[in-house]
Amino acid sequence: MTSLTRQEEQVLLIIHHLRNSAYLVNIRETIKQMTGKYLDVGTIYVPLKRLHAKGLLAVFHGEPTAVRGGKAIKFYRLTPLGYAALAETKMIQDRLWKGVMLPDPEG
Amino acid sequence: MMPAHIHKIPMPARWVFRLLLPRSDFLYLMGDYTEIYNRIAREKGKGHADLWIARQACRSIPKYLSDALYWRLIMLTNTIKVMFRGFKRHKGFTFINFAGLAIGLSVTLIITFYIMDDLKYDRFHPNADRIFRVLSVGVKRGTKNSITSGPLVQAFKRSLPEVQYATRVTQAGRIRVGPEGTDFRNADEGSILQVDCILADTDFFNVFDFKILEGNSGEALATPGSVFLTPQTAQALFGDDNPLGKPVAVHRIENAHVAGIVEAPPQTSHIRFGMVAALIPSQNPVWWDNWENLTLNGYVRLQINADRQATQEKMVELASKSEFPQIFEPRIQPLLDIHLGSADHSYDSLNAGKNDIVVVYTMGVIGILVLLVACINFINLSTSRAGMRAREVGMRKVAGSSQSQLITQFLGESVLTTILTFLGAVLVVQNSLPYLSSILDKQLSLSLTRDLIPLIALFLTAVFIGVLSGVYPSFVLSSFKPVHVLRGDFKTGRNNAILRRVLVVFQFGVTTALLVGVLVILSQIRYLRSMDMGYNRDQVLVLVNGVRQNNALNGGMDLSLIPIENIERIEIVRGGASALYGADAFGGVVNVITKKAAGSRFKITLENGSYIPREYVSGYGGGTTENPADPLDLLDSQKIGLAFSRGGETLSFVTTGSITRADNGFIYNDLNNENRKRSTRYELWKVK
Repeated sequence: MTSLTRQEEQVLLIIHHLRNSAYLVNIRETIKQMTGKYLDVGTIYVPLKRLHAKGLLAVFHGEPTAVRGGKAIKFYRLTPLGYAALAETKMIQDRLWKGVMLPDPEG
Repeated sequence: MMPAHIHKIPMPARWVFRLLLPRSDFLYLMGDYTEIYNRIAREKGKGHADLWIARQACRSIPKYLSDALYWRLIMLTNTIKVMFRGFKRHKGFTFINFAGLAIGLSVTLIITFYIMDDLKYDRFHPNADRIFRVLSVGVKRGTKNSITSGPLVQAFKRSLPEVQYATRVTQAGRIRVGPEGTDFRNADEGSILQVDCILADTDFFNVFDFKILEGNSGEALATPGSVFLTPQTAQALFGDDNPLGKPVAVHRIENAHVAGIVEAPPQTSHIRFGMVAALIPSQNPVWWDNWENLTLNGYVRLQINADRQATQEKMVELASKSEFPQIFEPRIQPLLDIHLGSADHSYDSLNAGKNDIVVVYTMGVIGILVLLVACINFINLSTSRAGMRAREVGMRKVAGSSQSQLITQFLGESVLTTILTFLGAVLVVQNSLPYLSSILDKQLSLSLTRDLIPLIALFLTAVFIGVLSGVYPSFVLSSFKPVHVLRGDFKTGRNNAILRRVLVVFQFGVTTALLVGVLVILSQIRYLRSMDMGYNRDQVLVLVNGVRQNNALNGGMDLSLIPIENIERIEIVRGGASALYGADAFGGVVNVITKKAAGSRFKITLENGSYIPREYVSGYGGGTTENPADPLDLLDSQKIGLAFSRGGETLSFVTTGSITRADNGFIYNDLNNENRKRSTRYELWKVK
């Protein structure tokens, strides 16, 4: 399996956290909450599209709403393949981080 | 929760997104953008939201452009590569294709410059639309003369409020000029300049916008002997010294001194000079201050709001009440018409490099025809080669190329070809213009900086030709069906062949017509150059109505100055006739008899006086003793005359009397005004 980029990893994890209501806007909001900065719409759209193309994400459509100017929503959720990719990334991360002690950045 | 109001994404951003966002997800992404846009608008205000959306839109442009450029560039490299392979494989074809188009473009370029040069004439005067030349037009036949009488021009200025300035100008020809004190009788030729000189009065620099670089206003031209020099003339005479106010020796002008420096007129001026000298009518009253003598060129500058037609009517009326010859009436010709609109004018010597509008139109038509033939040639060669490229098209289509991509490729090829040939044509033109300038008697040159705008225009024309001549072949080529091509049963369509035949016939027709034209012109020129004229022009005396025309100054007479319709007959005395007519009739005599005016004149003149050869006239410094037949020998005379004349419907009786005193000095410098002429006209009868 090809390894995920940092952004793809973030996006996948956030979609997992948001359960069945993950779509571009609230993914962006969540990234802001966690990392403190807004990303460009395009910066999130590109990994989403790529992950979908690789089969790590599945897509389902919502109803058009007034707040979106009458446009429908595209929701994302993880496929089993997506979970497998996350698991593998986690394993590699753990291996890399093993035995590393760092001062707490917030402390 | 429904928000009170949903903002739409502003228009420009929506356009950018429509262009750049992926089609498949366009609606979802627009939804996402709208949601975020509205949240920002709600939290921070609409201004922030607009700023954000603008940033989002702008950020996507560079990436899009670089992507587009990248892929186009790859396609272009391939196109160029295939094109050059084609050139290498079909060398003869390529040569003919390029050469044909390059020659066509060069010819069109040269013609464009030729026409542009003609159209530029006299446009450098900012007030060109208010400047007019005064013509004298024959009342009966409408013959046009570019000259008029001096007093009439002055009368316009005095009496017509529409005329802001009026000036009298005359051509003095090439005049010898040297440093102060030059004795022209036996001067060292090295120190003498030949300068094109015109004589003009004080309003000259008011009517025209020739810039006075140094010195006084044109008022200086009221002083006898004042001359304005162009910087080139001044440089040649005085070097780097300040010439202002310095005396200078000018042949036939007394006490000449430099009154100012005037900018040299450009090549596109119908009046050209190296020197402007004062025209003093009282120095030569018979010619310059005489209502009946049409000898001067008159120019007027009208007031800003003057109506041309009304002014002209007033001029005609004014002339009809004056002593102006009634067989003529004044007419004004716009300055911008002088260069191209004076083909049928007589006495038009003050009109340098004049051309005929018909010539300009003909050149334009030839230019367009040549370009058309070159285009057709290009189209035919491209389509005829179509069969050879069928397999390439087949392969490209099989590899997934769409028809529009192929059209772009072939159009690109033909545009590239025309751009290359255009560059070649510019080189050809640049190198051939100096030679052509001397043939065409025009100063044509191509400078990349000065002619940038016309060059860009012609470059765009070349690109347009590329597209035009590429469209048809590219559609033919790209419409080939790969199945037919690759199976080998490919044939060019019948329609295609018919169109090509029509084009070929047209092309051959135009080419033949142009060739025949060139051959006719060539044979005419050869005829003019080599045909025996039946007489040797040297040493032949030319008389017009028995009056000697050639003299030591002009060397001979330009017979073309006499309008052919005015000649009644020509008498020729073959062989030497010196005994009767003098030394200059050694080779024979040609006497041109002009037609009599519609009116008739009966005249008796009594004259007495003495003949004074030029050598005895003080103050006149021309000619040499070896050249005795100078026409400016003078008569110190008294004359009295009676004439009955019928002009038009009027019978009149004219008495004239004149005293010319030459012992006081040269007639031109008649400062004491001792020369008098008076003529009184009595109208006897008028038939109405």
